[in-house]
Amino acid sequence: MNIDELLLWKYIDGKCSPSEILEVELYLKAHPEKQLELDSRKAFDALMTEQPLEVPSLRFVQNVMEKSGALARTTIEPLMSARARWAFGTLAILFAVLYLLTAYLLGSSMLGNTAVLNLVSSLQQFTSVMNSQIVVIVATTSLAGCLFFGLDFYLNRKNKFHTN
Amino acid sequence: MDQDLKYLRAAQSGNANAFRYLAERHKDYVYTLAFRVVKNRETAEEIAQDVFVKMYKNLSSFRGDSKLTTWLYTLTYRTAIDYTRKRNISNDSIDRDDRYFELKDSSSHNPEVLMERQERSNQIKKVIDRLKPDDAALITMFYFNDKNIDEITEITGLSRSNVKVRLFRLREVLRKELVKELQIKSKEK
Repeated sequence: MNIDELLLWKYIDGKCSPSEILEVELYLKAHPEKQLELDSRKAFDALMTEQPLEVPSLRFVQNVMEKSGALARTTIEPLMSARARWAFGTLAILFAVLYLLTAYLLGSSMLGNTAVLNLVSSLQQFTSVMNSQIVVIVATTSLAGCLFFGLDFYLNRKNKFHTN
Repeated sequence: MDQDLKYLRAAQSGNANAFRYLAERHKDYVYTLAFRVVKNRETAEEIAQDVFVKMYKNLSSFRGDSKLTTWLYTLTYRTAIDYTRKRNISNDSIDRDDRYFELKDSSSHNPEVLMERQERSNQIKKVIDRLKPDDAALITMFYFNDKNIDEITEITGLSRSNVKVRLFRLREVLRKELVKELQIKSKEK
């Protein structure tokens, strides 16, 4: 009986099926001299596994950082999460549109003028007529929201990876 | 979440320190693989750096379908093998049939008892140096990567059976060469 050398390596790697293990063990019992060969393979395997990894130069990572341009890139943390950004942004834009529309309609009905060019005066009229704190809050919040959304969007775009 | 993946996601969103961590963590393996293939320290260093630069530039394309190490080692393997092909680095190897069959099986001596640890390590390096580049890469990946044949198959693009047969042959050749080297050394003493 002779045994496949491939099977011996498989045995050493612990990848043999129960029947293959039995086959190898019976073979070794019948050929005790082959045990030395198996031991030699095991010893070789252990030596190979124990081999230390090679170590590059001390400046290796620094060189990688410089070559890749990773260091040149400044990271700016986004002001809010993506989901919050879109929700807040949409809300801010809706408020702004609502404010402008209401102001325009109200102002134009009061002044009897529907010309688009008179929008600014309509807004002034609307704010002065209403003179309500709510109007001021809505207007300020919506405009600030738009600015904030725009700024956050800009920072987020700046943070995107440039692959080339 | 996989530690690598966590840092990779951070690196993808622009965290340079996360990328630095990944480079620090995998540099030795990438360098060793490159070194075993090109057999020159300076070139291996250049190739390994090049691999990480490529990794950085393509971070956004990594979706996490496979392990980061598989992606990284595939880059290393291809870059190093391409280099040897372009430079026409010798494909002569101890794993040639004529020499293979000339070798006497002197495995009756257990290598472990013949040499000191450091000496054995040097001998192994010497023997691996005599392998052709892709064989050296195979044996390095096998022993430094938990003998993971599936991953080697993915990295090299070779068939599973091809990888298994080549590894079997390489291990046999290396073992016999190593025994021979160790015997020569012990006689010198």
